Amino acid sequence: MQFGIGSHLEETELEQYSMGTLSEAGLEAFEEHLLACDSCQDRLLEMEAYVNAMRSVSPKLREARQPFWTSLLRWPRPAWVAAFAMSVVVLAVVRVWMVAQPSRMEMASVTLHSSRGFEGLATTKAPAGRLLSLTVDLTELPAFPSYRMEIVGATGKPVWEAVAHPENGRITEPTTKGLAAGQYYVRLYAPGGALLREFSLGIE
Amino acid sequence: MSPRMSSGNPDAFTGAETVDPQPGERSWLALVESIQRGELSGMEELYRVFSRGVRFYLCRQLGPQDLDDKVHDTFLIVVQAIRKGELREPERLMGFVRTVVRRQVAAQIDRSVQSRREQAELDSSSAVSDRRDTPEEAAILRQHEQVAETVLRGVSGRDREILTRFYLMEQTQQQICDGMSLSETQFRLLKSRAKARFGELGKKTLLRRKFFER
Repeated sequence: MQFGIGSHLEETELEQYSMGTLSEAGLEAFEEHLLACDSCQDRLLEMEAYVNAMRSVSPKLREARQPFWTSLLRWPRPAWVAAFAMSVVVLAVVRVWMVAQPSRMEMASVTLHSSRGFEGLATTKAPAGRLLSLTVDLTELPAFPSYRMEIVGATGKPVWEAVAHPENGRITEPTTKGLAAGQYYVRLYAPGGALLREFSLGIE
Repeated sequence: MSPRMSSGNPDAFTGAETVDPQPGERSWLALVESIQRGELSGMEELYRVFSRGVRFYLCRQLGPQDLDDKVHDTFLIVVQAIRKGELREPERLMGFVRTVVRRQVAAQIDRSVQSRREQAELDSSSAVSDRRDTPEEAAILRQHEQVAETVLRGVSGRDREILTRFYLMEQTQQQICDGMSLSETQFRLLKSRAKARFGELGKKTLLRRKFFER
């Protein structure tokens, strides 16, 4: 036969006791029962384990699910300044890299051959996206101190031009940008503007 | 009404709200009379009923250090008080035991404070006991946290927010229900489901603390 220890403790009471929020008025009856009831002691242990675990884990998950930008707002002012300065530096580096990019690209040498009247047969091939070093043999052309070179697309729209100076009977002029794949024409002009020759250039 | 004891003498204990024995229940009065008569069976019965609870309470409040001695001291005080007739309402034995235990806790805390103060005066670098968990306790704690994390990840963001507000931020039920447009039923249901899930998941893995199970 058991002693009268009253009814078992309510789940809410166990929870409040675990969290230290049980009212003073309810504390007396609660602890009296607890001292004599093994079952409620076990339930209290379980509740404490639960409450403590929830308290321990909640902050972690709470932090984890917040959007990234909200954490930025909590940064102190020096961190903002540092972040801004870092962004400026990164942008500058990227900009310099982009400007310097053409010169860092490996240049492809292209020797051009006259193609007018033989389109499709005498087209010089060159790689797409690479800088080109265009070479033209001037043996059969009138001699001038300089020539104007121009690259036009398939529709005749100019995409690049430069003034080139002959050396040892030929012109070797580097382009300043790579070309997308397609059909192009390289035109060579006299200083007066007369078209001297046109070369077919296939970019692949 | 709370049981009352004078600061130094338990004979002032006059409990209230007596728990009368129901049909089929044993009477506290019989137990107290048995102890007063000096019967060994009475003391054994007292120990059987309260030893686990007293150990549980003292350990929870003071930690496991010297726990056996503290439990023994508590029973000594209770038995001596009963024998001297200081328990005027035998049916309030539970309240009396609680009061003695609480006084034991308070006295121990006083002694610890005094001891620390004296040690600090003698030696500022006095040693303190290591309060870290044992490896077993740490492992159990980790398991609890893993289970709780599983529970929290298994509920919606809104439910997680509710549980967090309650357990971590200690907002009241009313505050949470008002703030998140919840009914009290919804709130209680969510809490009980989360707790039940924790129990289910932990049942196979969680180990019970053994220190008081002797």
